[in-house]
Amino acid sequence: MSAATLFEKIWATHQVSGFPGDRAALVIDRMTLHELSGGYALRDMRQAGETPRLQSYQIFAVADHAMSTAPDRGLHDSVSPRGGEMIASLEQSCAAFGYRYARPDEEAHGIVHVAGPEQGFILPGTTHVCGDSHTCTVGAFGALAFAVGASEVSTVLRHAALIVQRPKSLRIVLNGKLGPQVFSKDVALRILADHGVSLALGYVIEFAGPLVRALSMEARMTLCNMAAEMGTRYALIAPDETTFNYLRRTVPASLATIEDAVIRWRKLETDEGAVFDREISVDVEDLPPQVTWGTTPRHAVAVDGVVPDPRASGDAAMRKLAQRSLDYMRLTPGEPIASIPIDAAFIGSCTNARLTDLRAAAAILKGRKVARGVRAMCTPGSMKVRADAEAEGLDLVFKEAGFAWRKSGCSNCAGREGPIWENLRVISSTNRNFENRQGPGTRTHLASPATVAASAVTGRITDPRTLLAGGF
Amino acid sequence: MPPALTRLKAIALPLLRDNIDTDELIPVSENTRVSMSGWGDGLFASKRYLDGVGRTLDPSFILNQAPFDQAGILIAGDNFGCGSSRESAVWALRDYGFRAVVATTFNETFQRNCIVNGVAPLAMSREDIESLAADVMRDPWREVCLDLNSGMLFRDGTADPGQAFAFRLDPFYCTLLTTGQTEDDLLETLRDAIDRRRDSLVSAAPWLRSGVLRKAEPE
Repeated sequence: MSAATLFEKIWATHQVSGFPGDRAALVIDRMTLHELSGGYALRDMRQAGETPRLQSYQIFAVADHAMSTAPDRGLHDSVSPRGGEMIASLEQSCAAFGYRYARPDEEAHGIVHVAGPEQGFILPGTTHVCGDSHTCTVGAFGALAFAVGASEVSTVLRHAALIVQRPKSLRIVLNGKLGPQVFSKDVALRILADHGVSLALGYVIEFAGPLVRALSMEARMTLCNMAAEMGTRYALIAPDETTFNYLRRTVPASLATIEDAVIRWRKLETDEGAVFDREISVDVEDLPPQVTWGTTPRHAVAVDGVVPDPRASGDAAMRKLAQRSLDYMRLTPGEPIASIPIDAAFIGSCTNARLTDLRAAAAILKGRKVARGVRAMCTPGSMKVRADAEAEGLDLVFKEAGFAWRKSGCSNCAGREGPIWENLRVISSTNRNFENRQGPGTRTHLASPATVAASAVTGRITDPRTLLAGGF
Repeated sequence: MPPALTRLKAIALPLLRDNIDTDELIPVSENTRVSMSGWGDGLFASKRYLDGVGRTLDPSFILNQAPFDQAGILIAGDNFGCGSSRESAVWALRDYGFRAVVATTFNETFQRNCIVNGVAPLAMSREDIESLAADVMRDPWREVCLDLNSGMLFRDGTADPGQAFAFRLDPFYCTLLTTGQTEDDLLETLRDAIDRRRDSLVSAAPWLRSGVLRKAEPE
């Protein structure tokens, strides 16, 4: 057999039948459901009296989007209008069909892309879908995991398969070592700044290279998560010892079964000599922490840089977009990034709310206080992350610094706490800085959790290296 | 099943910006409906209304100006529909009355959401889009006509082939849109083959049955 990429191997084992335009019907192994896209589909099936063809072990359901993150939340509490109804509906549908639904008072509750991996639900070499654009996050395990809409969630429930157009392949090779206080989030923002938000439109990304091998599973998930902002719905990282050790801890199967699986999973790497449609390499040596200044994730610059001049950027359309972004963000060209005052700081989301993210932020917050007037909030990615953080005493560090210590959920990554930051400037460990994304008029600066923590402490965007020289 | 779409004649709305995202098409604050229909008044809500749920129209937003308020074709730039995969972005467009979006490129999940809801995502070069949009702004009341089978788009009453624009639409998607056939119909014919493949995958890899542990019930 000729040399194949990881993507080609997964495609070949799941392809049932071809369709015109380089398409195939792929068997879908697993699906994660949340109360929006998943809720609609299940309710419609129940009302139509249909029985889904996905079996109970193929489904994991969590209400994360509309779920309240208040410390005293009840089972169906939501800030969103009719949110409680959507959460209850998902829970009832799962009960009716025998699907595993994680209640908000369980450790298994969390943002789908955080809780799924923690519960051992994401396995290398599988096909996996979820009605959420950041489903590619869990491609970090070598699973072909991709976003679908609510209608396609129904299709998968009905057929256990989906017709998929085969993407072209893009390998991004990451070389070098990250400096202190620099994280995979900074690498993703740099790639976006250099290559734009359409870099991977129509492609599956495979992240590879020495840096990827050195990253933890959490950091790999952050990288794959941000691939959604690079224009793709597919990101992959070949599984290795780091992956297998994570799965040994999390997959609910006997050790013997898992070791059998590991033998198979080791074959899930891109063969030497396999051909990609496109390859780029990125050197991260000397990369400084990155922060966005505009309203698209490609608007990233070094934290020690300045707000760029729109007249210097690309073509006419890009200049126009940059000017519009500056107007929305109320910034002026040439202004140092590290002088911009902030009103709020947020650590949360499927991008950066895992235990290692909270540790990085806590290392900066320890013994410090959030600046006067700054509203700071942390929503751990899952109840397990929250419990693990509390076992290490991180909750006390956050609380003593002046952060609100919340429960798990998507929270204000997508403005799900109501308009608490209306017209405010927020530094955020999330993935999207779109206009009005985090609330009406909210001006979002994307950054790593360390940069968010450092900025919360000083009250202006701050290079975390100025507060903590070493790693955490 | 969405109604089949072959030809369309409608007012066009030019919104020549890149990266129009699904948060803009349907903001989270509009995500209050629990069914897949009735989303039209939420379209562009954060731009369209002065007071959100109060529904006071902002006259400065182009969708609120005649004749664009009757538009059925949207014209935009790069990477249309990026961001969240929420299908409600397409439901809002469709329920408002849009049956086609013309853009240079589309987010893939958004494009698929269009197809399953009978909205045509049509790709054109930036040059052609700018030319079409300028022409529409000169005479917005004159409708734009398109024909999915011929892959051509032109201003109403134009016989001059020099004033017609070619768009790209994947032939497979074109078939689905023009026939009203769905991918569910196609998958239905593969039932046995899908079952056999699933069985063989699971029997070769028993760990696939591991699922997620249930919470232990309190004693």
